[in-house]
Order: sequence, then structure tokens, then C-alpha cells
Amino acid sequence: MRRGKNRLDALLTAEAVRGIEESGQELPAAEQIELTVATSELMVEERILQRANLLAAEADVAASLSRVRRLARNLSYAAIALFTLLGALASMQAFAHTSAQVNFYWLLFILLGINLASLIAWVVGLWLSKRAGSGAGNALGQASSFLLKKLVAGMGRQRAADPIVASAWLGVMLDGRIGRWSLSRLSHTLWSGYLIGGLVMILLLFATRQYNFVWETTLLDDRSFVHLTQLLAVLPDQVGFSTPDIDQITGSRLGADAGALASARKNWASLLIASLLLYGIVPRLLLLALSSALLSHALRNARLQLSRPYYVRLRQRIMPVATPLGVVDPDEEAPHALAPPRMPGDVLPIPAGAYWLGIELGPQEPWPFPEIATRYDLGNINDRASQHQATAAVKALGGSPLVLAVSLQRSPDRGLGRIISQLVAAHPRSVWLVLLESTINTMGSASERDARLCDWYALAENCGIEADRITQRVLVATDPRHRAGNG
Amino acid sequence: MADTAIKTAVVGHANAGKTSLMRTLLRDVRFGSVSNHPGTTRHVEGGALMVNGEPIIDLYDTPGLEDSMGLLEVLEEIRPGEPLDGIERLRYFLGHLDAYPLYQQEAKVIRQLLHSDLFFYVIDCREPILGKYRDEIKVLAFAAKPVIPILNFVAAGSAQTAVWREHLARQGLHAAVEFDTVVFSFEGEKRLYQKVQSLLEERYDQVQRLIDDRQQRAQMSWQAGTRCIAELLVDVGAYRLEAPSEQVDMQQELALLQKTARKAEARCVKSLLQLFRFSADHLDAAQLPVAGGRWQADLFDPANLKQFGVKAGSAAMKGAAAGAGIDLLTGGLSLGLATALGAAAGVLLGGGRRFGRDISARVRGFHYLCIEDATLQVLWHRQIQLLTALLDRGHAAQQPLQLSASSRALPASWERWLTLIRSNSHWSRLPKNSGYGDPDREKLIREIADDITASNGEQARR
Repeated sequence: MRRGKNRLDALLTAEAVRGIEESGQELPAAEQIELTVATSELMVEERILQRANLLAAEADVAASLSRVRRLARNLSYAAIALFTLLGALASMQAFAHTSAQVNFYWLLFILLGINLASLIAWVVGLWLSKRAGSGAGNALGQASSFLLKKLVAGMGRQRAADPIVASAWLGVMLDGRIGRWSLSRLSHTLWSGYLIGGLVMILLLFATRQYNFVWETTLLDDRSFVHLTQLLAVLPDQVGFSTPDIDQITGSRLGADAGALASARKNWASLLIASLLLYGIVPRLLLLALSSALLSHALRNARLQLSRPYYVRLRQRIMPVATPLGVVDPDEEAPHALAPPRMPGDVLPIPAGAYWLGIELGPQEPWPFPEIATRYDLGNINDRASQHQATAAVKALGGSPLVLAVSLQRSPDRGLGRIISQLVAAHPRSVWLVLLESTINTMGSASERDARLCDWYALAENCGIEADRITQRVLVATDPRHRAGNG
Repeated sequence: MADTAIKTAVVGHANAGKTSLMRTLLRDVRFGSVSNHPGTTRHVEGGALMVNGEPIIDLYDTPGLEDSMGLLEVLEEIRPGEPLDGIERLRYFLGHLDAYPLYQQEAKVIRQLLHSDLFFYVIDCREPILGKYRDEIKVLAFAAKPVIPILNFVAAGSAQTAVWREHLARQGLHAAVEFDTVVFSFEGEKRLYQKVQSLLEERYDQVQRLIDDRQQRAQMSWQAGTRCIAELLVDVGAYRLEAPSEQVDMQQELALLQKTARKAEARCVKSLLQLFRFSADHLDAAQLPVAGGRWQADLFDPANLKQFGVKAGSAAMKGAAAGAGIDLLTGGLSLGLATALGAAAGVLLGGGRRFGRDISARVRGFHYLCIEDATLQVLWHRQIQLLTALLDRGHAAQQPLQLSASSRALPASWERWLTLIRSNSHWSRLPKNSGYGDPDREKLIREIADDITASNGEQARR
């Protein structure tokens, strides 16, 4: 129980801190505490509880919590007192209209009938709440939360945190399994009070006044009453209470005389008290013990509901998914000083009789495209071998103009830069660059395309190709198999 | 628990999405810098994947292998006199770096390759298989380390995933994983870690802890997201303002009501962004229709009704029949409950337990102003769309979030929820986001949250 209580305190504190922070109140120490907590060895829930515990001191949660607790405890004491009084009044009422003759079964019904009805209501409520998967939505829960709210609101000298702490307390105590068993415990306590109040009053009346017990019926058979009474007496008999025998029972029929005998009186009274104890109070106390045990079990195993948005966000901070390792191998070179590209004024036309060379063209830019005659096609550089071959071919060109074709799809990396530089260096005259773009556009947005164009202009300039010798060409995509068939 | 972290280098060609992969795995939109320019990352930067404070995998982002063709040539031409294997060749290269001033960046990659237990080879699947990529694989093979090829941009229209897979298989790389860093799926991330498990058998349990943790977190983020939406619906739906009924001009109250609803939505949006680790100030207006934690289109903009296919008709017509709700369409607000007829409009009251009290409001001479049904529908659709979009969004995504304008169906229990919400005005935590945890409110919130999961479950499970 001790562990359950500590656990409950921790949960309540965490929920109270949640309420405070969710209502928009900033707790200044939070950041520092989170840093401390984030380096601890604890698992996530423990970290949250620890953080809440440290923060609670700041918002004076503990004082509010004990105030709310005291209030709740006083409220339940008052309710128990009320129920005990009600029980006493109810049994007094049952005796009020009778002079010296008491109807045994009517009395029994008044004392145990209401108790039985509430017991049935409890069982049904339990079954319903289990099926609905949530805590008590029942009348007792509603009433107690309503009362507590009103009391907290009406409490003199109340602190800012009080209503929030009260709502956290209600949220924990009325929710889920804790709620189910704490309300069950309260309910059994109240009805035990009712029954004990009734019993005490009866003992008082029996001690000071004399009653004759009778039973009466209009519809039912006499024998069934005798039978019922005997059945009722089985358990009290075994426990050691004296109970009326058959003669005394039949003699107590309204109008018979035997009921007035002192021994019969005593036995009837004994049966009444035994019934109240064994069929009312003892089962209630057993259920009370069971509820208490289940409640402390629920408290021991209580978890924060970590899927709440607040806790998910908190977890991200105090139990990070990743930590930076920093830069381990810094860039020591000065960044490549790519000159900002000059945009061309007028593009120089590609002269007739120019030789064409593709660089890293893929299936979307089938090479060579139709207007290039075979004798002007220097091929497509795609690997080291074709690069060496093409460089040799370019060297052999002499003064003929050279056009390099690249795809706008390719990102202008240093590898491409190196190839283009080597080609430009191998060729004595100016080189043209054609940027190919397929109609199967995969460049994404227009701004991405512009950025890519810019990068290409910068790279070309860096490789010694002037901006006025760079053009763009759109290739209309055709079926590559069809092209291959045409040769 | 004393296992050391698995050192993993993230390598690949320029612009293949190495830094994007880091961002997505680290759930950190601020890691490194991402752009379409080649050579954006020029240093080696690391981040550790943590579980309960324990580093599981140390990831190192490397510069791109921009000139793999040249590098391979250099490596193959190393002839120190004795035969060298791959690793010795790489060591020799690093030892004689002064001779290769052009390959400083490549040297950084090779250094990481030699230091790591494993590497992720990121491939842009939109690219054809060019010579430089073949050379890249050859260079990486020199390091003789376990490698997981990661096929990035598989969700793009031009992705040639099958071609790449076949090519990789021919090179003996069979452990390829499809993992799009822009279009995120938790299932893809899980498969990546499972490949790590199969390649590094002795680290199986260590990686399993990572998978379990990420799975749990993904589930919790989703649940928290559904809860945010459910709470928003309850808070805004149950919120109402009192106004004296003889008052003709209620502009002030209407404005206050709208402001409160907007603030509540902004709070929800911010919360959703945070749950999925997108912070509002790092998403600029172009990327999401959510700017600074708020939607750009105002909640009360009539255009919203059209975009989300909300039929304003039903509630409005009923309101008009009741002689109330003139502001329905223009203001997105409803004046209900002024009369018992207002209640019949179905906009405000479901004839619940609190009917008596509301009648008394009439006697006392009050109007209740509350957010209108159609506005609640817009609110609902917007948050659901945001939630599902965030679930699929990689932390490297740069493109604007696409929101479909198609009309979506309301949940089957919508009417019942609203009836409950409208008749329990004390359930609202507005305007201060505080209030008592009523067990019945809690029950409804769980029901709504579960319903969101059920109707978007397929997506949530991915």
C-alpha cells in the first residue's frame, strides 16, 4: 500500500504539473530541470515523474494537493456520517408506525432491500464501465466530482493551482481501473455505514423497548413463509445465533398468540440482527476489502498515459531520439569559388559542320538525336573508356567546332566539371554547350529548374565555356524502342 | 546494454539525398543543409540514434562522391610495387593524399568507410545507371564492409526502382531497401533497420531495441495527434458565449468567439507539428499552408466550405427556418438557442440533459453564441488532413504539402458527437485551455480519437 501511495503521489504531481503547463503557465525552472533529467539513467516515465516532482516545488503543488486530499477526505467522512445517519433514520422509521408489533419481513425488506438494489446497481455499473473501457461515468462519480469542484471553487484563500490540482486529482482518481475501484470502495463504505447505522439503531431500540414479531400475508401460503424463515435461519444457525423454531414461526402468524412469548421474541430479534449482519454488513465489508485490494493493485500498476500529446512532446525533449555528434571531419578547403553566372545576352548560333559529343546522357535523352549526321557524332561519354576515346577524338578534330550536350537532369558535379574541363582544354577553339531537357520532365518545380540552370551556367563558366555559347534544347520524348528500330 | 553504437557512414553520389536520409532518421529538420546544388555537404557530420539514452547507431553524413570516375582511376593506378587489396589501396590513397589535391572530399568519404562497421549507400532512383555510378560501387567495394543500398526517391514518377535493383543485384548488393526520405513511411524505416540486423547478426538485440522504440513512438505520436483533434472538436464545439438577447449588435461577441476558435485551432496545429517533430518556425509559408503554426486560409473563410466539400446547406436551412442564424454563412457562426426554435435547428442542442438550463437562459434573456456546424466540419477536415499529411512527410521534404481539395466523408457518429458536445458546454476548456477532466468528456474524446484511427487506420499502420 505504501508503494501504491507513493506511486499515486508521483502520478498526481505529474498530472497536476501537466494541468498547470497545459493551461499556458510557464514554469521557469523547466528548462534547467529538463537538462538535468535528460542526462539521468532513468527510463522515460521515471524521467517525467522526476521532472514533475522537481517542478512541483516551484508551483507549490504539494500544498494544493494536500488541500485537495483533505477536502476529498472530509467530503467522504461527511458522506459516511450522512449515510450512517440515514441508515439509523431508516430503521427508526420502520419501527415508527408500529406500536409493539413489528412485521418481521417488512422490516427486513426496508433494511436490506435498498442495500440489495444499490448492490445490483453497482454490479451493473461495473459491467457497463468495463465494457465501455473507461472509468466510472456513474452517478457517484458525477456527484463526487461535482461536489469537489464546487468546494474547491468555493474554498477560501484559494491558490491559483488549486482548481488545476483538483482537476488532476479527479482525472486520476476517477479514470480507468483506479476510478472503478476507488468509486467501488467509496460506494461500499457508504453502504456499510448505512447498514451499521441501521443496526446500531435497532440494537438501541431492542435494548430499550419490547417488540413482538409477527408476519402476515394475504396471497401467499403459510407453509412457504415457514420455509423461507427456515432458509433464512440456516446461516445464522451455523454461526451461533439463536433462531425461532417451527412452532415459534407458525405461532408468530398475525393473530396467533405464540409470537408474544419471550423466547420467541428473543429468537426473532436474534434472527433479524443476524440477517442484517450476515446478509448486509458482512458482504459489504468483504466487497469493501476486495475493492481496496484491487484499488491498491491498480495504484501500484498505475501508468501515466504517455500517448497524451503533452507527454509525447515532453518525451521528445527529455528522451531525445537522437543526439548530434557534431562535425568530425571539417571542410578545410576554401569553398569552390564558383563565379556567379553571367546570363547570356545573345546566344551565338551553333555553326554548321560542328561535331557533337554527349556527356552522361541517359535513356531519356537518346543519343544521337536525329539531326546529327553520323559523321558529326562523337558518341556519348558514359565511362572511363568512352571518356578517353572521346578526348582522343576531340584532339583529332583540329579546328572544327565542338558542341557538348549534357542533360539538365544531371546535377553539375565535380566529375562532370573535370570531364568538360579536360575536353575544353583538348580543343583549340571555343566549345558550345547544349543543355538537354526531356519532355518527361522530372525537374519538379520551376524554381528547382532555374536553380539547376544557374548551377550549369556557373560550372560551364568555370570550365571555360562562355555563357553566350550555352543553349537549351527540349527533346520530345519518343518510345526508345521505336528509335532503336530506326537505327 | 554495454554495446557500443554501430558506426554507420552514409555515402552516395552528390544530391542522392544523404543529408535527407540523416534528417529523416534523426527526425531533425535542422540537421545539415539540404539543397539541389551539388556539394552542399562538404564536411562529415554525425548524429546518434538513441534509445533510452543509449546510442544505438552513430550515423555520419559524408560529402558526395562527386568524381567517382576519376577517383576509381586514381585508385586503380596505385602501383606501389606489391599487390594490394581494396582496403590497403584505400589506406595508401589516404596516406598519399598530397598527391591528389582534387580528391579531398572523396578522401573524407573513404576515411569514414574505413572507420565504420557498416554503410548506407544512398541512390537517387530517378537517375539512369550511368558509368559514374558503376564506378562508385566499385570504389565502395574496396572497403569490404557490409553495405545497405538505399533506394531514395522511389515515390517519384520517374523512379527506376526495378532497374536499379537488378543492377545492384548484379554487383552482389542484395540488401537494398526502398526508403523515400521525402515521402516517409515507418514501414520503410523498419525494413532498413531489419537489414542492419541481418547484416550485423551480433547486434540483433541492440537494433531490435531501436525498432521497438521507434515503433512505440510512432504509435504514440499518432494517438496523441488523434487526441489533439478530438479535444479541439470538443473544446470548440462546446464553447459558447452569453449575450443579452436585447442586444442588437453582437459584433464584439462574434469577434471574440471567432478569435477564441482560431486560437484553439492554432494551438492544435502547433501541437500536431510538434508531435511529428516539425517546428512551426522552420516551415515557411511556401511549404505548408500552415504558417507560424496557423493555417493560412482563415478558419472562417467561406472558401473553406467549398474546398472541404462541406455542405453548409442543411444546418443553414434549418437555422433559417427557425428564424435564427442569419450570420451562418457569412460569419460561420450561429445564433442558436435564442428561442426554443433555435434548438430545433439542430445546430446547437440535441435535447440533452442541459436543456432545462438553456431554457432558463431564454427566460433570463440570454443568447448563446457558438461556433457553427459547418465551421466545425472545416475545422475537423483541416486537422485530419494535416495529421495524415504529417504522417507521410519525411523530415527532408522541401516541397509544399499537398492538400487534396476533394470532399471527405464525415465520421458516421458525427451527429451524435455534436449532440453530446453541444449539450455539455462545461466540457470546453476554452478560452484558457484549462478545465476539469470530466469522465464523460474523456470517454467521448477517446471514442473520437479511436474513430480517427479506425478510419485512417491503414495509413497509421504503415
